[in-house]
Amino acid sequence: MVRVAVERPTYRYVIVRFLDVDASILEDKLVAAVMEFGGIKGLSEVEPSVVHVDPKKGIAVIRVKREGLHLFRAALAAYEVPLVRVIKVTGTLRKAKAISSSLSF
Amino acid sequence: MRRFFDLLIPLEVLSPQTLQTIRELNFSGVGASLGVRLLSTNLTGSLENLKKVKSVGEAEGLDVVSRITVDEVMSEGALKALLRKFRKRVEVFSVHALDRRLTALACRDSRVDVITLLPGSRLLKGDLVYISEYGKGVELLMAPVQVGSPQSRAKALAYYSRTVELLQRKGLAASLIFSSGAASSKTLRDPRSMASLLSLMGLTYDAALDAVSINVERLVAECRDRLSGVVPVRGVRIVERDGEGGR
Repeated sequence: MVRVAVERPTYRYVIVRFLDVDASILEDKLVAAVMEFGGIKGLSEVEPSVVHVDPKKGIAVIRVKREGLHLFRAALAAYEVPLVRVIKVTGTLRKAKAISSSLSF
Repeated sequence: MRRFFDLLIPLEVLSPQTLQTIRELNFSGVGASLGVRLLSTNLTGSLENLKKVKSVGEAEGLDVVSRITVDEVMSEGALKALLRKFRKRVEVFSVHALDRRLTALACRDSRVDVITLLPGSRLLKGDLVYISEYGKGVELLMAPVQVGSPQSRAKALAYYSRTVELLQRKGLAASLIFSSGAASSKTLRDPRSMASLLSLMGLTYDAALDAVSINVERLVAECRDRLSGVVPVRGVRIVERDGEGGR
């Protein structure tokens, strides 16, 4: 019997500053933005999820699939309302958290 | 390190807060655009305002490029009159491709630096030859993809994809400029997100980054050289010799 291993997706961690959006509904808003631009197919390529939030600083770390990073950024750019402002993209969550904790606004 | 430029933001949008936002978004330069309507209604005030924005922008660390944008349909004679009157007063002169005759004139007149394409604009073979020969910029705006009904935005995206493909086929990818055309500070986006959007239209990400940085910087430098007399006519560049100070 041949076993086919499903490859684990590679992620990128996008550090963002959220603008005029409540942290609790940030993920829903981001999903809506990606859905509007790329539809279900686009959403499957991005799979955005908020993995870390600092409400005091207004900073969040969003995990997206590496292949969907450009689509995610494009969806944010094409969205009529500015939801978040991208600060930095990293390859690991640890680094993303380190950078977000070092930021001050 | 790349220096990012947003070459088209209307002058009336460029308040000190907007300039600060532009700086925060990691842009190094901005094109302060004077529309034709503003020029015809309040010429002196507009030019004064342009100077003011330039000084505020420079204090903020931004390279502010003065620009006139012909964003209304007008006769060929009127465009030529505008060029005679204002060409040497601003760094960049651009024309929106709203009308076939206007587009053709803008492409063949070497005084026009940038042709701004809007969804539905047509560029013919001759236009592309002139664009290539004169080293003009071909500008696409982000605003039509951001604002409007889903259908109009989709049409804009499809049109831009076709245009990008055409420019690449004709070897004019280095002429491509991507600007926001923002009507308010809320529609401003960071340059890398703009490049991501452009990369979905068929360009590589690097080429898309060039469209918001190197391509713009090169065009602006060329325009400034022409204005300062370093390039008195096309193809001639005055080079100072070391130590002599002569020409």
